[in-house]
Amino acid sequence: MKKICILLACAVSVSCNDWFGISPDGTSVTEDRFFRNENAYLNALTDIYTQLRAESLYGGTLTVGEVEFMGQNFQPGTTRYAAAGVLDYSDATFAAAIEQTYVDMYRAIASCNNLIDHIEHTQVVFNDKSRKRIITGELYGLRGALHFELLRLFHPAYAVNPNFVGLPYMTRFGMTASAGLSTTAFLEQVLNDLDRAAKELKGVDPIFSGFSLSSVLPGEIDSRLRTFCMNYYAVQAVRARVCLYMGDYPQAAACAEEVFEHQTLVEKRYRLFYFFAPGEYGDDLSFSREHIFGISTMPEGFPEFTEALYGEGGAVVTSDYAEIFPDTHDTRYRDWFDNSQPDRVLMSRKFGTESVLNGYLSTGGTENVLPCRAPFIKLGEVALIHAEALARQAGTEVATAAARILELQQARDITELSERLEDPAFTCEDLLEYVEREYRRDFFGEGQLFFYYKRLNRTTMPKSDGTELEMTSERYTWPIPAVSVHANQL
Amino acid sequence: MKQIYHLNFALVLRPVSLLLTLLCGTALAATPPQRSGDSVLLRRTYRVEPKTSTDLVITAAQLRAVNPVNLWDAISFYEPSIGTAWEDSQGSSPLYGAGEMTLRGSKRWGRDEAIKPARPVYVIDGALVDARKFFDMDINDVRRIIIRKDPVSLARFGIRGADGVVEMETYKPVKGAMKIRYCFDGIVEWADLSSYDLMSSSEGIDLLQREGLTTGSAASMQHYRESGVNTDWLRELTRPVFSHRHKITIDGGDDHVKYALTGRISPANKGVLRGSEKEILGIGAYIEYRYKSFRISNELTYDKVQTDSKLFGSFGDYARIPAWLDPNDGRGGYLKEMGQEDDVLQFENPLYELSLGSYHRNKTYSIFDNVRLSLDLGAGFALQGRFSYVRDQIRTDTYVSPSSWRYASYPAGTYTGRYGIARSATQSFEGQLGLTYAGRWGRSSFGATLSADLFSGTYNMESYAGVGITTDKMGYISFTQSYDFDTDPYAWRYYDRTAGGTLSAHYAFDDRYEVQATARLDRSSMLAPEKRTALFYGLSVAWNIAEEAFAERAEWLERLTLAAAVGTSGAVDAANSDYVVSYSSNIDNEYIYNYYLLGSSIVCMPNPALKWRTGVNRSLSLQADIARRLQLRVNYYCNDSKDLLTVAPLDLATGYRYNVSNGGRIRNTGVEYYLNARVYERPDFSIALFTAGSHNRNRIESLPDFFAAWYNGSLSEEEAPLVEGESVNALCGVPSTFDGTTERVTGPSAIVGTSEPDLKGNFGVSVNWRQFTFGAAFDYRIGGSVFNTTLYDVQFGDARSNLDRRALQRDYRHAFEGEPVRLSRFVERLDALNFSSLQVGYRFRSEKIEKIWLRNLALYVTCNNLFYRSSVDMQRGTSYPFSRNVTLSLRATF
Repeated sequence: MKKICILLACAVSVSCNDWFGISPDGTSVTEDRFFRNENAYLNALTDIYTQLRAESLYGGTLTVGEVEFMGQNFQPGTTRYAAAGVLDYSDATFAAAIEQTYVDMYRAIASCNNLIDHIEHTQVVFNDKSRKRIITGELYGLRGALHFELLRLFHPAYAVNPNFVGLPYMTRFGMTASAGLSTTAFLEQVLNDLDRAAKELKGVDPIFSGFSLSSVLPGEIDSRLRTFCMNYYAVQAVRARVCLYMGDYPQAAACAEEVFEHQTLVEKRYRLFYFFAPGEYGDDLSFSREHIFGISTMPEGFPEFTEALYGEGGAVVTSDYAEIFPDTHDTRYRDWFDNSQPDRVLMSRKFGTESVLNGYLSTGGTENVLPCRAPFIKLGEVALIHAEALARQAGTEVATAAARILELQQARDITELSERLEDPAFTCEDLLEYVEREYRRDFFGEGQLFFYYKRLNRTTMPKSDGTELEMTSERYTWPIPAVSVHANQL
Repeated sequence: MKQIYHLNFALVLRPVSLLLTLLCGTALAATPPQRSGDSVLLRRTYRVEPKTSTDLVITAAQLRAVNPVNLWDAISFYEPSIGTAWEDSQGSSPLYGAGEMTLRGSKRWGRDEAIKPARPVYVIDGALVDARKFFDMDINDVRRIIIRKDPVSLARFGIRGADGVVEMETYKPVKGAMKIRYCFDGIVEWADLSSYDLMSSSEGIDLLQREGLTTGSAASMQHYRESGVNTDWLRELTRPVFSHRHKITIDGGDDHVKYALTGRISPANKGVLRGSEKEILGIGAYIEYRYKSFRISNELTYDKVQTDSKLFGSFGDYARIPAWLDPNDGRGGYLKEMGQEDDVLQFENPLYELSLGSYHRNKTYSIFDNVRLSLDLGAGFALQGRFSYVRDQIRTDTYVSPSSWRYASYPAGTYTGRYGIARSATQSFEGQLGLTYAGRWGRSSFGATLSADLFSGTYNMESYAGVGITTDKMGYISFTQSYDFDTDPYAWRYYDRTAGGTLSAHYAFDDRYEVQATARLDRSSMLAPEKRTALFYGLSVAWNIAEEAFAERAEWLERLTLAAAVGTSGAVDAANSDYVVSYSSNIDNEYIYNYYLLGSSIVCMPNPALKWRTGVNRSLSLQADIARRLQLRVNYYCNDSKDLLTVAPLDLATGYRYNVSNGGRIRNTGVEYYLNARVYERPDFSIALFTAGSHNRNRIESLPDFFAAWYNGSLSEEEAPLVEGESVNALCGVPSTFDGTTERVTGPSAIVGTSEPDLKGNFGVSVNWRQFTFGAAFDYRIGGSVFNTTLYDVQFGDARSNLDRRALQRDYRHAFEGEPVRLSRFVERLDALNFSSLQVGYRFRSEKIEKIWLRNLALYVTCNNLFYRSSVDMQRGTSYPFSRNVTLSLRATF
């Protein structure tokens, strides 16, 4: 008996914690067991992208939803977006939507954090070293990019008050949030993460060599699908966006320039993103090949949601639509909108069930038509960042600054800027007006126009009904939600 | 938690250890007149029997006096603080797994309770077992049942004790020549349908006409009216049944070896609902060896229990089939679907379904092995050990015939017929080692126990189903053509690994004052990593007033004890994913369309510091024995259940709105009484009366605001909101007014009552006259409310189905404005009286039966549930009907 006792005591003391640490199996598995396999990291990363297509994020609010109506591209068709259209944050529905976006964005960040924590401390040896770097890079890229998205929503513009203290920069998964940071300190963290992401992805991201035609084994990173992920160029593009926001024009221009490197490094047929020339895009009406990073959707999700929002009986475009598109040759004018009723122009074609992505192969190797995707950042914006950043630097040649916009306009089948450039009196100052014009044309349904006005802290915004909307820094800034009032939403 | 055994061993080993019997509590309820008065004898000898525990001990004789067959019924009769939620609907179902009960009130939020009902811990001879195994035990094997409610007793069960403990001690063979015992029970059982008062065919048609409805068309109405069919569906589906049970025990032994072999069988016993059946087969072997102060015993049992049913709907659903429908097709067979072609509603024909090969079958195989050792070390020290192994395997097969009505509307070419398989198994090892010491010095007596134990349990389940069976008789999964598209294969596995230690000590002075204390430490895999170790304690003091000098003159006062106790115990409600980050696969949510790129997401924000639920129990008890004629025990308790599972808000920047947390407090305060009086006592004739009752008040003492908002924000229709100061068992209803023609809702849903009775208990009489015994027992409940579902149906039910007859009266079926809601007028006060048992027994004189080699022969006739009266006219037994039964029992020893 005593021997048994001693034996038992030994057994208990030796392997005590392991013995008690056993976890159940069922519909979920604990993190320690989950991350014992290389593929788990990819699965958990995929989940973060899946989260981003929620209606509260890029599947709605931040693309075709609230933020788009705040930017005044459309006149709200339903009462749901009426408050967003006039930036009335006291409205309960709008406030609830803001809160949901806030939570879901931080949820995606929390998922990044837990995964970063594991991938940095894991004992698992990856078959392919570059894979580990790619996943790490994407995670840092996402964390930085998503934090920046939050910052430009919930903080006043950098130009107005760089010392505003608001959101925490979350780097750990857990029940407690870190302290709020000032815009400057926050942006420093964003840039740190983006730098880290670029460092990890540099050289290993398959995007550098374009997509390959060889088939991909399950679990491998598919070079064809790099623009569905936070790839190296997406990181640089976001970096350009951040730098421009901070007014760091040389950096912004440099980052933007680097994104265009893809166009020279890779032969066109292997390129993952490029300007869509007229006639090239077929049914790809959202010009998805211009997305540097876009979020995949499911047929019954985003396309149907957008169809209901902008289709028949939905939101009508802004009343100065005709002024925005003086040239009806513009492929955007022709392919995005239903111009059959001049007083009720609908953007029924850009996103919606008819707009699809071609040229993808399913795992079986057959042609796979994907539903349209929600853009996170696209080439057009990088072109505009490039132009603006250069134009705002003293001593830039206007032709240099205009180069990328010319490419963009060429792809859109218009000659507006090239005609103006012939005028020797045309200056960089004048170019900025064309940058704004393109901001108003190229981002219908993408939620970027609002941030353009906010960044520059415009005192008025042209309202979608033709009037002017008085703007203040407060109106440009989403209120930070306090404690959850919508207790029953997960 | 298990040193009870040590104590029992100690009892056998050394008389002085008897002082520890205080841990075993006392029996006070309906004790039939004792012949030998063992306990009194012992008490006189050692004068140490503090018996201050408030645990309830039910002896085998008591159990069998109310029900010779059904252990569950017998136990729940004697313990009035047992509350069950399922009984009203499950009726007398032999298939339903009993065991879900609350002891001394609800300790959790209503919804948690509904999702996973709290169960007390069930223990057989020290080994933790499943509730099902416990209640499938043969009642003749039971020596006594101990219902642990005392704060100190529960503290000893540590992390498992908060929901109460129900312990069983089984009979062990005694020294003597080989004996053969034979038990026989013959049971006649019939359904009690008295709570159903349904409309007849013509009444139903009248009601339809009055409400301007038709079954489908005027022609169809005419058809039903003229056909004269008036089917009593309840009678069609129930039947009187006879079943029998047999048990043989062979036992005996000498000073060194004792043995017992048992076998029992109750073959294919039919239930009152057609198609239901239960079969039990069990064998067991017990052997004990003793050498000087060392003793070892092993008990091994194997049981197989099989239950069958054929109908998949509930009894209440079949009661709704209109009486005007004829089940027969006129050609000697049954119709598959009933109703005229143009009828709005078509009905399933349960008689047709019964004729098919469909079944729902549940087979349980269980192995139970319990090894116990004890060694007397002398000088008051004793060592005890125990090891047990319990394994249960449950196989559930559900076969729905392709000919079933549920496939009638399926288009040709779809898979019909379904065979579902679910397999589950539990396996546990448990080891325990304890050292006890008992001694006395002068007028003091004292004792202590130190024990350590280890438990390892594995539980798993898997289920899958196939569809596409071609013909009725091909009832097995091998005949299916595909997996069932509607139910994914499912499986889980979980573990319970717990190690613990207990230190108990006890001190008594002069039999007048007594103190006992217990500390229990548990470490368990079911606890959150940051709170993996749990400590519990119990403390009690008792004062035996009858032993005081000033009470000496009161000779009639045998005993008067006042005791107070306080203790804590715990329970684990949380799941692993509540405290550890867990990932699950988003099977239905691939990232890129048709690329099968699936993500794995974090299930929820875990709380690594999540605590277990703690019960803080306090009790006061008074026990009196007056002239050995009147025994009274009154317990008062005030138990707090705290650190319940709640949700607490998180900073939104964590990415989550809330996560699981601890909070809130529920208090159960109550009084229990047990009174036992021997009103008349002569050598050949005695009469004893007994009664017991309990009152419990449940109150939410503290309720976190955020949690309340979260909980109350998503109430289902039946759920009452959580409100501080109210009971968790509150019932709510919507107020309404009736102006003579139309009823209208006048306000929002509000709490209108609680389902807990004001008083619940039993009373009865037992008479011994020469060789005859006679007993009658009733149970009652006073006060508390119930939501009368029948009235709801009467008011809102579809007249095209059959309703309670009150639907014909405009007083009950009002014109109502709006959607059906749970009106407050449906919540009714419930007072009820049930004649639970009537027993007549005859014990043959030994000189008469010696000639036929019998040592003992007794015959009993027991009638159960002869009548039930209640203040609420509501259909009972809606899932399975209640039954009444008469049992003839024979107990013979050769």
